[in-house]
Amino acid sequence: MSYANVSEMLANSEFLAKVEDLAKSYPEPRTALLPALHLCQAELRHVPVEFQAFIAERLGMAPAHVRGVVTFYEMYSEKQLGRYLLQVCKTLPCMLAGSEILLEHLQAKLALKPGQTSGDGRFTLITVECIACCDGGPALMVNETLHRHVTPADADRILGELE
Amino acid sequence: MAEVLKLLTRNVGKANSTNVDSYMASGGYEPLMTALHKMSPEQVLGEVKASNLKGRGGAGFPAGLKWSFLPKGKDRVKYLVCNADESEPGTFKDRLLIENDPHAILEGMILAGFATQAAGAFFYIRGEMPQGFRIFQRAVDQAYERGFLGKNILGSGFSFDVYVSRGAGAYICGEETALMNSLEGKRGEPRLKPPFPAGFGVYGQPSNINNVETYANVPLIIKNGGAWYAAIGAPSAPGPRLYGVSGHVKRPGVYELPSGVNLRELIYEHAGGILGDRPLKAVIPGGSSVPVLRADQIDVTMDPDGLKKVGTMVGSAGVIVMNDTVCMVKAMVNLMQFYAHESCGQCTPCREGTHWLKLILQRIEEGGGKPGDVDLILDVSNNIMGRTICPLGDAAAMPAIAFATQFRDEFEAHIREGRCPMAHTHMTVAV
Repeated sequence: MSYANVSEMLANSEFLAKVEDLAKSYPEPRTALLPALHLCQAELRHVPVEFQAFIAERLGMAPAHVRGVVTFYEMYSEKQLGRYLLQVCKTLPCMLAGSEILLEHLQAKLALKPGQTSGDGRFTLITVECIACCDGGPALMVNETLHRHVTPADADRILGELE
Repeated sequence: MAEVLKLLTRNVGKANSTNVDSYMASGGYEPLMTALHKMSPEQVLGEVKASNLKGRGGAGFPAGLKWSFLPKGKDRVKYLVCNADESEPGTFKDRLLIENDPHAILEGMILAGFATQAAGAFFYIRGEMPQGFRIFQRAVDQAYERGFLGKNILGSGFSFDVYVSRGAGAYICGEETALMNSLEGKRGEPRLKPPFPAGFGVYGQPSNINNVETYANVPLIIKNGGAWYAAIGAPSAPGPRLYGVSGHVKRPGVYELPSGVNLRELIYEHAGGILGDRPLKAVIPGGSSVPVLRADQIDVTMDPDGLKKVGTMVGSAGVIVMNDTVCMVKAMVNLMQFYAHESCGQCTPCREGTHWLKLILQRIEEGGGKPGDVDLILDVSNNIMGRTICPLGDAAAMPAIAFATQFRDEFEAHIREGRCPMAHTHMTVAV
């Protein structure tokens, strides 16, 4: 995370320039809403209401509209997530390949249930629906990195290599 | 045995396959040059119509016919959309193309833009594919640098822009009008039709949407001609097809084969047979939304006519294979959790129906099934079918009906015994 909080982010000229670039990247600025929310989520690991109000103003939308969008899509969170978001695919093809074993292993190892964040803010464990990696099940995404055919031993190694 | 093709996958596995130079070194963008300099938009459309290319997203609608629904000429700004929101359980073929051959998809989009005289196109990729997003954005940037996009492409007078956008974790955005709402910065809730996208799509402008694999076929058609294409595979839905095989097979993966390949051959020859050499139990042939088949129903061709004979569909050609260790109630619980989670909630039959199907099935799997539950599942499903704005409701009800009908004995055994009769609690490889 490059910013201490949302106020610092919204006061940063580099960040604001990125938002402006997005707003000008599409035929109509409203298309930039989802990309802008992604940007905020990536920087702060959540989308606080302060950013929702800011982007609503910039793109000419009601804050309530933006909040409706934030809460509709799975990848935006109003609650801050851990530095590493562990996403275990639980849909049928991955389940057939052993995703239940992987999930149970991660739950026990991290003492987290799906949806929970560790006390030190390092990990958030979630289950996700099919991530189009059915031939690589069980699939695990750690932030933006996709891991295929993940056994419990692989998961230990992957987590061990994180900072 | 059907020969493995290297048409759509011709660049997969090559060094730097996502780079424009590499793509051009193997003849890439030559079809576009041919079209822009030697053909009229009508001729390009004509070849695609002659090819009988059917959409590869799941519905299988003829692509050329769909393009022709757009108003002619340039009076109104028209948009194309490439649906890269690949989210149908069991489907992972578009990922292969996006991550290995983005320029083939892009060239198909530009050709479609020329044929329909559209102003631009959106590439909407699911949020969980960050790598594919970066790869495709880079391909677009390279195409602008080489003059394949932008104003007056290659001096032809035709101008075309491509915008890359990401989804954010919503299966429903694979539905065309939900995707368009999402592109407009809205919740991904499907629109009531009519009006159809061809008249009122992105920003209210005439729009056309096709799947990634559909676009990737277009350069092949322009290079080799519609007649060449129409002669590949099953005549009713011709061409090369990317079959994704997952679940209990020895070699899960994407296989490029002619349309209409035999399902048994696909599973036992190409995908290496059943994991652990165990008996086959069930196969979902076209992504989780199509009716499931029993092991004795797989001697069929993977095309609309062949699968219709056994009451199912080719869908996205994502084949999910299950061996005898699988509890069909548990498999269906998993899928109903998926649909209940992904229902956008607009339509009561879908929002409530998928949720209740999930709860009833969980109860059966956990040993609390009641006599009449199977009929209840069928009743709830039949009350979803055809009663919603978009096809998600049907996509949940069709597999629900098929599971409960094809494997009724197993459901009844759960209810009768008050437990799951399978010996193990985990559904896994169980070799």
